[in-house]
Amino acid sequence: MEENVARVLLLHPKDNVAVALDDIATKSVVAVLGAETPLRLTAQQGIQFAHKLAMRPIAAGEAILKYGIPVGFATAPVAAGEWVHTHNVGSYYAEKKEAK
Amino acid sequence: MDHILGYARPTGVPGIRNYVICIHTVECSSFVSQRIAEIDPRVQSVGFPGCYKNEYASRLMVALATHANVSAALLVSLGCEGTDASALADAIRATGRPVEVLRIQEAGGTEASIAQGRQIVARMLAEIETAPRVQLRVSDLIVGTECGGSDGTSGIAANPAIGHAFDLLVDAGATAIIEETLEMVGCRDIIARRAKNPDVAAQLSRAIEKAEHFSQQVGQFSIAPGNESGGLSTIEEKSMGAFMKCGSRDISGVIKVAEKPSGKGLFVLDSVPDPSPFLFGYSNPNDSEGILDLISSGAHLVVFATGRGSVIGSVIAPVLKVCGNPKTYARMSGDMDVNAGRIITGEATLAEVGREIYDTILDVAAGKRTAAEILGHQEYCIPYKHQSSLCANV
Repeated sequence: MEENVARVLLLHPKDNVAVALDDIATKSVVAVLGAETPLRLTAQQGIQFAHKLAMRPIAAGEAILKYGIPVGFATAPVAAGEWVHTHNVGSYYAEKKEAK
Repeated sequence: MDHILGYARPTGVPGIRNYVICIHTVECSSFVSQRIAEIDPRVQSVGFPGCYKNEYASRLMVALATHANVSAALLVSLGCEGTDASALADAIRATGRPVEVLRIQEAGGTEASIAQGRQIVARMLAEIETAPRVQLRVSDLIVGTECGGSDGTSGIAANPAIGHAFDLLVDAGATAIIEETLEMVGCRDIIARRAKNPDVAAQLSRAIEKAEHFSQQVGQFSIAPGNESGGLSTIEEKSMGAFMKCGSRDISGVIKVAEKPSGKGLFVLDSVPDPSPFLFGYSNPNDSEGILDLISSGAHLVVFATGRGSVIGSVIAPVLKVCGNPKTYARMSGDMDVNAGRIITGEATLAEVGREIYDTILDVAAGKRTAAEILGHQEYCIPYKHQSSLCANV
């Protein structure tokens, strides 16, 4: 793999988010590790190391899948390559998040 | 492994460390207790700050005084607090351990109490020199795990690597304990499926439901601002990562604070307060409290995962720190024992780091000092809590 390509890790084939293994620059191409076939994606914005990137478009209300299980839901439509975090994810358990 | 030489105790399992502990039975006696403990590095100080008696805290103090790593205890009482130091001493004495009570009001104040306490402790130190050494097998070990300062690396590096080490421990016949049912919120069904039988599954479901209910009631979910900056968006995302620490083996049972596992295998420690008119503020107020809960249930040592970075150790049991974030490790390597960040950088596999954690656990059991021990960390936290001693009462 080229030295300068940032990596994200897909933890489960069902997942719609992947975890950044490097800091990702805006509009840069990232390599997806853990995918069944070699896969690349363009990051829509800068994404910090250990944060999440959307693997595909996610509708508002749709579950965020990581480890193959729902770890929250989208509170707004999310485009492929977008940063997925508290600004667009709610918790099924913590009410404070659902109020967004 | 035959290189682990433990310390035989009059009752119970042998220890991997040999401490005398000074226990203050109220905050008012904590200063004197700490000053007594300064006499020798083999003496440690721990205690409960509350004046009003709390069954939970009393049970916990007895459990600490009779821990495998503790050979003798001095209870340092002011003299008028609600906790009955004599009753605690009786419970400790029943395990065959030397125990004494020092009452500051009777001894004549600070200076007289420190002098008298140091004399008692010096006698106890002379006695612990004679503790017989015995060979410990891996299957004799009780190992706890906890995490703190989690981030987006936790669920993919440090925690699954610890999980791998826990599988090796369970397969070798050891006892393993995972705490933090508050961080199982959101994963109840997945976790209950890991139970070895339907009874345990029901216990797990009850314990996690209790944690969910408690969280809703106090409006506290176990997720901190640093977890969010580190890439974790929700409690259920953090929970899945935290749960990876316990590996993949069947869960043999649920225990409560200061309760010992009933056998070998993997156990879940429920440290959440039982339903009560008194909520006593927050559960798991900090990582040190969770670590001490594991120790009170017999953990010889605790494996601690971090991503953001943590520096803590503990009284009584070594804390072995595993850091999964390579950037944090680069900044704080002096506080860490295992660098699981190598999984992220691609320098090592999960299995390799898991094996290294397992080997380090055995080395620490055999006497190797952890980073926190070398640095002198001896944190602890015992809050007021209402919790019955029996899991069946959940």
